[in-house]
Amino acid sequence: MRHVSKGGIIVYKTAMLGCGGRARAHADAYRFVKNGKLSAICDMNEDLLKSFGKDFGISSMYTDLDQMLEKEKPDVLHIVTSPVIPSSNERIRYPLMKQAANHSIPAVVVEKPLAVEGEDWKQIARLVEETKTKFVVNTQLEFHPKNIELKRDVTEGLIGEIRFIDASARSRVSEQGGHIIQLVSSYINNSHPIRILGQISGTENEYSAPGHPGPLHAVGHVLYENGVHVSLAFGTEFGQIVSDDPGIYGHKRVFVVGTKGFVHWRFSSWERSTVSGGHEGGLLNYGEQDVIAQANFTAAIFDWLDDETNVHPTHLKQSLVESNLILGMYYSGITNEIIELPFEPPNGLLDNLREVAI
Amino acid sequence: MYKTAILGCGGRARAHADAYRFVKNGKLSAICDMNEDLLRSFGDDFGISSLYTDLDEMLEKEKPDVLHIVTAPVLRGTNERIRYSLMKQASDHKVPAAIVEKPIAVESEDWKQLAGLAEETQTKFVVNTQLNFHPQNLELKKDVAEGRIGEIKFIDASARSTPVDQAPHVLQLVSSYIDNSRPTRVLGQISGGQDLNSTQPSPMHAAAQVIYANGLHVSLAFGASIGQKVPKEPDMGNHTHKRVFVIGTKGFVHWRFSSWERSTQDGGYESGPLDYGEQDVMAQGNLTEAVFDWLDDEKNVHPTHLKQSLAEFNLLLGIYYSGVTNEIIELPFDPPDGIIDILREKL
Repeated sequence: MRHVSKGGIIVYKTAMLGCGGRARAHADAYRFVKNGKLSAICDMNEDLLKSFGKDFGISSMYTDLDQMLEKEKPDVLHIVTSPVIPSSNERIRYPLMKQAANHSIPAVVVEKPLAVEGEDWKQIARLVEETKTKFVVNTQLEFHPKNIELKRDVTEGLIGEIRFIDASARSRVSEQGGHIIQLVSSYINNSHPIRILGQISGTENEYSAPGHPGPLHAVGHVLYENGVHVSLAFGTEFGQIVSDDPGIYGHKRVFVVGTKGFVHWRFSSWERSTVSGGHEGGLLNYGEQDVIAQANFTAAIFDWLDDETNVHPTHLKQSLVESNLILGMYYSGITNEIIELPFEPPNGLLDNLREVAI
Repeated sequence: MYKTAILGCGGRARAHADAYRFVKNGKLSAICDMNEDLLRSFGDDFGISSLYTDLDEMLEKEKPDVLHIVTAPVLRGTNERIRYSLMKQASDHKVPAAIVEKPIAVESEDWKQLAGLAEETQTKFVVNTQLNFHPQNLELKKDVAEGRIGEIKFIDASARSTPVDQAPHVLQLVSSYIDNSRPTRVLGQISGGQDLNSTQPSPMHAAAQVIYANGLHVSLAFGASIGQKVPKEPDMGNHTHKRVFVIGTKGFVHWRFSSWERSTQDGGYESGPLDYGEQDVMAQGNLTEAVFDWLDDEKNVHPTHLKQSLAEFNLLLGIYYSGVTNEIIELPFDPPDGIIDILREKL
């Protein structure tokens, strides 16, 4: 449980489930976190576990989640697993979150994507109504220092009234849609999408990351409750190329246009055009930005634990809304219908996608 | 002074005729319609005494330099597609130029017939997408051409009427801001089949992402549920919400049916209302005058010439086909026959 350090600062005790590559980014960010200490880790793979423990100086290691939660009683658990076990196709997001909720863990960070289809989305939507655990989804781009700066510009009216947002990534919507749609939300005060006409194309291929089932390409025209129209594009054929990265991950971006200018955050560069400042731009080091973002993100959980009014921006209900938009894009693509959001996603959506997408 | 004639004496033809108030180099001299009441009334109102109920006869006797074909693409009361046959008739009579109302086509069959005609005819066909010539659009395009908004980064364009009704206008406007660069790829979606048996058969809604030959990404949305609502009170109907929003590194221009906006670093944010009727009659005059300019000089190719308009309509068919196949469509593509029937089945 949390304790008060010598300096009088509350320090939260945290634990990690999953010791893969993404978990290392979560752990590394603790270099910049003042109010928390990563104290225990858990993975079924003992080699991964030991290596991770050694690299981050953590001696409390577990291969069983219940045991770790029972003994360590962390304030915050990081669930850093993929939503689907690639070898078995088993959906593990909900059962792990339920396990944490049953242990009354005060707060949990869940890696994105939150859900992959209708079934797990509905399970998690039920969980959010009954749990006391503060779940947040690890869409950390919102906390990149440059995004924080550009969002401040928007909030302070530097680009005027928002007219349109265009956002895209070259990886699949199931991999990066969570990030991109959360970034869109972050620029419009978490306004919710209310309608989408979307399209999807192509099933998994050799570029598809395991454990993230979804179509290869997706586009959508989305109307938000604040009246802003948003254009979304995912996949190698429609996501804009915005860096020298020959791969698919270095091209995430959000372009927010207002009456007096725009801000444009991109994976490895940024632009701002304002009447007062002209056109400016520069490069970004994603790695440097991201580790600080991860730390900011983690610190924001502690802020929420400190004070109920400091609701984390990527809290579960908001993330479910964003995930619902992705499922709406799929369903619109399958049915040729405009989907009013939020909607009740049907079961078997991925099977339907496999039937229609080629 | 060029001699012109009109085929079809309905409401749209009156807009074509009225615009001659602003046309210096042409005179509307003859009209033709199968409906004699319409024909006489139109003749009386515009002071035209050469009236015909037969197109061949008018073309033979009057030998106009320019023929306005102002008909719906589908003959009312029937399901007959008449765009190609009328254009072929004009071409066979070697009419030097013809202005054809939009939409140029409604499906694959007529699009392919017209694509064939475009390759063999000597007639200079242009499509009547006159928004290109609205004075406010001309001003905003000049701003773009002169670099006031910097390098174009993105275009968003929409309308709230059905795709086939207003997409020809909106897609032509997009083209007009990017020097008629051609679309090369689309992933689109369509929805709603209620209008598929009308004289302008179309899905009710469409949305798409398009990549153009110049590398630009464009977002498109059509239909009452997805097209942006342009602020205007009172709302005069779905056709009053067409718009094109061109964003550059240094600002934007935003043309809308009844207003405009511009944001530039030297001028700041500016905006104003537009009287569509006033703008449109001048635009129609400008479009007509530009046909004469093309007749004067081969180099003055009209911006809405047939091949360009066919490229734009091919994009619309690409949106349809992407919508029914879940495929990315590389453009231009050979649209399959029976696409409206496919839409009927799917929607």
